[in-house]
Amino acid sequence: MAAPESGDGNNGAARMVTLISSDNTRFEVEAAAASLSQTLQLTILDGGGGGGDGIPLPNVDSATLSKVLEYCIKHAPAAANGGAPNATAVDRAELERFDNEFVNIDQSVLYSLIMAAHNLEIEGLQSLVAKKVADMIKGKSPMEIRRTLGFPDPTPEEQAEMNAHMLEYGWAYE
Amino acid sequence: MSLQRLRLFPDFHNKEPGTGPSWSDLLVDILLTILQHLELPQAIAFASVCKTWRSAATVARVPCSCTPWIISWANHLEKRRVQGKCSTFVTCSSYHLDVEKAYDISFPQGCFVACCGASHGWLVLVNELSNLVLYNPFTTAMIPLPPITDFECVEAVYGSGGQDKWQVASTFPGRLADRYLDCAYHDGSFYTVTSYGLLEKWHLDELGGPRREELVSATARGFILTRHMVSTPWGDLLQGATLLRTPGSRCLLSHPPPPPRTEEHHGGAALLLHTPPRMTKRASVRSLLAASSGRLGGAPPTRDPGVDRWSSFPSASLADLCGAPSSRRPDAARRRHALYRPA
Repeated sequence: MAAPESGDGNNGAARMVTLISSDNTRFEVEAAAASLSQTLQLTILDGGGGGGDGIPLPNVDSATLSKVLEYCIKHAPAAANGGAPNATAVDRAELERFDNEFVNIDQSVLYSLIMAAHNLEIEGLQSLVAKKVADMIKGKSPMEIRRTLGFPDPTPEEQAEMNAHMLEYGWAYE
Repeated sequence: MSLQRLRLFPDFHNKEPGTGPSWSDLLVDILLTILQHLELPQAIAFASVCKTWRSAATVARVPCSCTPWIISWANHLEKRRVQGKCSTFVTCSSYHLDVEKAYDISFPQGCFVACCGASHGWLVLVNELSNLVLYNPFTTAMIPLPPITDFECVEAVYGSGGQDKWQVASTFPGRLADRYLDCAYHDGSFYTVTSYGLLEKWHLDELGGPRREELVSATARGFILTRHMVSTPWGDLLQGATLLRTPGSRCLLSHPPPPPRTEEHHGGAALLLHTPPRMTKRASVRSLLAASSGRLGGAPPTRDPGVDRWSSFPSASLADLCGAPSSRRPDAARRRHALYRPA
């Protein structure tokens, strides 16, 4: 896939694009980083987002967008190398360390991130956040999962349905 | 539909305090990415959490019915043979016949050396101390059974409910090559079968200890690789045996004692276990056919027109199913697949 011209080229400065969050905050970011988003990539390839225009993202607030871009900026160099056979083990370890730190966040932020990553179609981020949520679920009973993620108390019908399903697999009622 | 429901991206930072993210309203696509990172037990817990999550689990084909599972630890044994003794976490594959898809199940450290069978939602495992434990792979609950290490050579034991004591029922002298291959509880009695085809029924409630009744005497020699018995929900006791044949192998399934009918199945690489309650007896017998072939390996199994359902083990070979006849591994390690049915 043709990557947008990056700062490594002869042109000197990297091409920048502007993203606008739902609360009207403008973020200027390298096109290569923003292009990790499949949703944005087409627009950027068409030349959008440059100059004073900016790409509005009505579904992503500024706090979430800054977090998303933090991820994209960190991962853009590796992505530009296209899977990077020349990436060193040190680079990969550094990315891994970053990823682990990155998702060590409050679950409401995690929730916003998973929604944003889905909407912007950032594959790596989707997978990273999904794995974090999966790790939070692991080893827990259905009721414990509900408590961990702050589900409201189940309605009597919901409870009955859960009980039937749990009984089938041998979980004790709680 | 309310406006709130239509919004793809609820903005939590502007929400009133006290209202958190609504995990139960996540899009199915997102839930699917989470499910990808879950092993089977967690995937089933996931499916119990709420309606939306359950529907995602259904899309991801997480099985939610009581249909039996087939659990295979062939890969694990292979790995152990290559790496020597390992005491790391064991992961088994588990196949569900409704969805024909494999899931991983990990066992706690040290608790899985082999699986002897399954009943009422519990797997019977042999742990590293050679003791038996009951293990529920979904809830990870574990019940240790009384130790059997007191016995020098345990061939068959029984214990009745509540008693914390096991008693030797029968042993074979070491010089005889015959050995017990399977034991099944059926219709109030225990049945045992040996590699030579000796089929015994054990009456446990007799005064003076268990009484043995020989139903079929030992005959077959040499080419039987393994035998198994299955007590079916519709009241039959079936025996399956794998025969070594050139060029392939075949599997027989019969009703003991003296087989009123025998089904044969040649070649292929399928192991079939299916117990739909509405099927007729004859169809059920057919559906329990098991066949394996060491030569065909990963070749796609052919579907026998008489078989209602089948599921294949991509990696299964003859050795996977029953252990090579020349193997010197302990008996407990020979069986590598168990029929597992949630309670």
